[in-house]
Amino acid sequence: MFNQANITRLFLSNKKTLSDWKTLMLDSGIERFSNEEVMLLDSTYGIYEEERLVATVSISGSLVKYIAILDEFRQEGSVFNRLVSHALQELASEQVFHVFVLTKLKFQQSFEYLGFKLIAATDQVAFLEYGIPTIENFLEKIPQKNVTKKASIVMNANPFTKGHYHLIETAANENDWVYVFVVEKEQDVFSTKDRLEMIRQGTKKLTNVTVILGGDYMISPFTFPMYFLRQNDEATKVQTTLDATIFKASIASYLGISTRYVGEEPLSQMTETYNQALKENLEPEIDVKIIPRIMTETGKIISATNVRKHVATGDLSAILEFVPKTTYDYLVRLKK
Amino acid sequence: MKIENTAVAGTLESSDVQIMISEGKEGITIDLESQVLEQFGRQIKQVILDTLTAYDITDAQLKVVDKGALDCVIKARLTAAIHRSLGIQHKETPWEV
Repeated sequence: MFNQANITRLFLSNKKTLSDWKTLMLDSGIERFSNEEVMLLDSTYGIYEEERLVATVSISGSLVKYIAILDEFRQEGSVFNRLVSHALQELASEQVFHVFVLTKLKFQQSFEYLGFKLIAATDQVAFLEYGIPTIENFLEKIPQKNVTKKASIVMNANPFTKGHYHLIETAANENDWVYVFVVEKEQDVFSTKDRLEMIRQGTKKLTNVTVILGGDYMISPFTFPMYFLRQNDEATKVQTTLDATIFKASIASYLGISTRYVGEEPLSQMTETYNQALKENLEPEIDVKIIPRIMTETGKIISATNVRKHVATGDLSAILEFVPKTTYDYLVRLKK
Repeated sequence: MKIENTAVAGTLESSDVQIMISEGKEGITIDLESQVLEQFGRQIKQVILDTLTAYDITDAQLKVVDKGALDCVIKARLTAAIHRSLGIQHKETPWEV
């Protein structure tokens, strides 16, 4: 019925196109999509049938998103296959060979049929990947340790503070080995490379700690879309549940991790929700230890947010009480 | 020949096969997905291995999603993927292999 030539690039900056696209989304039951998310899409493709948009797919980074097909054009999945196939080819031409999709459970099979591999599924969503490198490739690179008590921490460390050190040190004292995963997403202020390096330098003295990048699987931007969800807090819950499930099903089981350490976060509702989700989903198989926040000697709260504020004003001497000497030295060098 | 760059060829449509080839450390690993794995899995792998051998490729990681492709299609898609990976352009194409 359709062939490859029917797939055209859609420019959502065009008002008519955007309205066609939105109509199709709503008709296919995708109700939640914010304008911000639509703006972030790299490209969108669609199939028109006599002036009417009947199917579409979008790409955002290495994520395939917003697949919608009108019911009467589903015909045993051939349109779906064509759309996904097209998206994968576009990504390949951009040299992206590792693709992710986050989808409702009912579409999990359709993606698996196209060679996508399930990473984890919660009771609501499934997270799948396609291509190379796979999660197995990621795990194989992590050094295996033949010891009994293994723990893990996932941290952003933007930048690495005394609070982060305390968390790692506590875990290192209570376990035979600690895996520290660094959130691998480029964000404001400090690059992933810098954050990784600050943690490595700051934990050199601890002989039973491995610091590695968290890849696409731990607190990853791919597991954070909210488009098909009703409300923000519900979205947060789905995201955190998925993140915890991936950690449990893929990472912890492979490495034999029995405890996950997290920092107490009295000021951030989001982190609180996250910590709760970890407790709910990891326990009882994996212990979740919430470590209370430490203060400076003068009773000030140590937080990376504060440190970033001082760094922004260029007042590096003010951060000395919050960060290890190694971080301070690193930031001084970075500034030069 | 040594595979260093990831490349892909083919589609996921019926009667086609999508083959992704990437750097491999030790030997050939083939992750094959097919509706006809039971009947033709071995044959598909043999076509892939023969084609790789023709190019003297000994280390590679392959992901193959078969949608019922004929042997000649599998060979063609893999050849295309290899050429893309190695950056072989028109004139250098060793059509004889």
